[in-house]
Amino acid sequence: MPPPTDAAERAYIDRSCRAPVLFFFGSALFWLLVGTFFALVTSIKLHDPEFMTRAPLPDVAKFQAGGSLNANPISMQDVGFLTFGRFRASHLNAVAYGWASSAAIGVGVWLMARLCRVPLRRPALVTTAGVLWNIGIAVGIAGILAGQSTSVEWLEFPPYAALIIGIAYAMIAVWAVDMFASRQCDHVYVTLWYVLAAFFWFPWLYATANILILLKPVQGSVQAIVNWWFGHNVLGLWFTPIGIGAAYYMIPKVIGRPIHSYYLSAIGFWSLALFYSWNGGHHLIGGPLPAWVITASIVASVMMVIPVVVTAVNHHMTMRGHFGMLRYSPTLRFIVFGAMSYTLVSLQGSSMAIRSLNKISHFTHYTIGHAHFGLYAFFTMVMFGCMYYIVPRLCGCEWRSAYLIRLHFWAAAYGIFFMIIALTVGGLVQGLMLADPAKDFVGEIVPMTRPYLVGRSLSGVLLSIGHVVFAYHFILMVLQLGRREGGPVYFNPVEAEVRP
Amino acid sequence: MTTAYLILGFSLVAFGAMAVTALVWAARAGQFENFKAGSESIFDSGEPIGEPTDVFPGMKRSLLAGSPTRAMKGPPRP
Repeated sequence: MPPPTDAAERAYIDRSCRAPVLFFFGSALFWLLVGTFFALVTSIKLHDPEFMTRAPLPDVAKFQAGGSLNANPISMQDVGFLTFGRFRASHLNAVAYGWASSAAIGVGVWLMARLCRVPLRRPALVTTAGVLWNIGIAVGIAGILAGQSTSVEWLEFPPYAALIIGIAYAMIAVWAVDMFASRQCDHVYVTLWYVLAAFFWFPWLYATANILILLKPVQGSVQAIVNWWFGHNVLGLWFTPIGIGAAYYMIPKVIGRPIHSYYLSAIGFWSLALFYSWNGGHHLIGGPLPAWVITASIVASVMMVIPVVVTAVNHHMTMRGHFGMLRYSPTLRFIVFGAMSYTLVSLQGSSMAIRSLNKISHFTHYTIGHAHFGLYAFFTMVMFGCMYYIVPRLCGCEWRSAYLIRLHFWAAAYGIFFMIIALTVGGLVQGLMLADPAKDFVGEIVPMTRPYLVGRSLSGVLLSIGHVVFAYHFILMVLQLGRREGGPVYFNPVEAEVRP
Repeated sequence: MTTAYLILGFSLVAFGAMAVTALVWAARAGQFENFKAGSESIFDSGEPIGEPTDVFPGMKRSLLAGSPTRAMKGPPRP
């Protein structure tokens, strides 16, 4: 029997998502904390390479008594798992698959249920996929730390872990098709296009890349192009659609105003869908590939300005006259920060694909700054914003503390701002110096980058504070320790006010 | 090797073909016919247009409801 009112129907649908979505959010936050730990250690190692693997100081008293000075040698066999190479890969995979992808699946599952207007179908399938997904990541990270990384960037997980992850994701994709097929709405809202496409694209990308690089490896430089076809499409055809799709739902919903131009949103989606997958080759500018492959990829990268500007104009015009609400809505604050970052980071990305800038920025910290700009300032901030909106509707109580939300926002905003500044400026100077054959690499270039890297570590401390605060706040919500005053309809301001 | 190249070729071609198929389906299904109704499809009687749906916890919500100008002048911070 259909529920009586729109509000009751929505509450019913939200509640049906509760267990699987909270499970994905909880595990996402767990991996965020793990990934943050790897990140901090990795970052410190860049300016203090022996951090955590430093040999103990020689025992002077023993030496004076005639013993060997090198009495406490440190063996790489003992500390190999603490070295930069393994920690860096662990960081990338923990945050990309553990945090960002789990959060994306959680948000995507909730958005699909809401936009298809059906209660979550096959919740057991989603939860099983979630458990498998987490097992895959745990096994994968253990494999990387044990030295079994494949050394293929973005695909470092050993094949046995990749298989588990692939199966888990395929289950999500099957579920998404099932949800879409049983939808109760005539119109497919733009967010639903984005989310459905992302759920469909990712398993395709992941399976193809794993088959062609690990299972039946193609030869030579074709591996490189497959690697970056995958590496860049993970960003553009998995994280970007979920992030942009969520913004296209959350911004209008929070401020109570339809998208400024629905027409533009359609253009934005279809231009992304048709042209994005050409972009990956720009990672290989100067690499051993036919020049036309790279040139085609540069053209596609610059063409991405179209969907980006379309989305930016659309979001801005929707927000126009409502920017004051940024002070009052946590969700809006995080999502608008993310949406603005999306515009900036995408335009920066298009510019970085141009050969004359790429020859300076490639292989420098500038690229790392760009990566964090995209995955943190854009995607992660949008995911935080969505969680602030979704979790109260699943838990049935409101966030405990406005102060903690503000603390989280400002720690994250300042942290990522300083990180991007440090890496971008440091990377540019580094790139210009590397292009000058007169500069001494060890004597001049490496010491030059040091202060920027220390700055990056400090900004990482700020981000960590935000993560711990948010994880604590989330745990309070799951334990039902949120606010309960204001009546039963916490998620509808007006009804909550009207009801006695 | 041949298998690998077949997969590669299939993937690249099918990737684009799927997007084009979806676009054609969307156009035929009338998804691009009424943009106004489409953009308003996420609102309903419970959460109508003109009503914000998110505020900081503990904030007086009634002050937010209604026109954006009221929201902009805004309630005091909790």
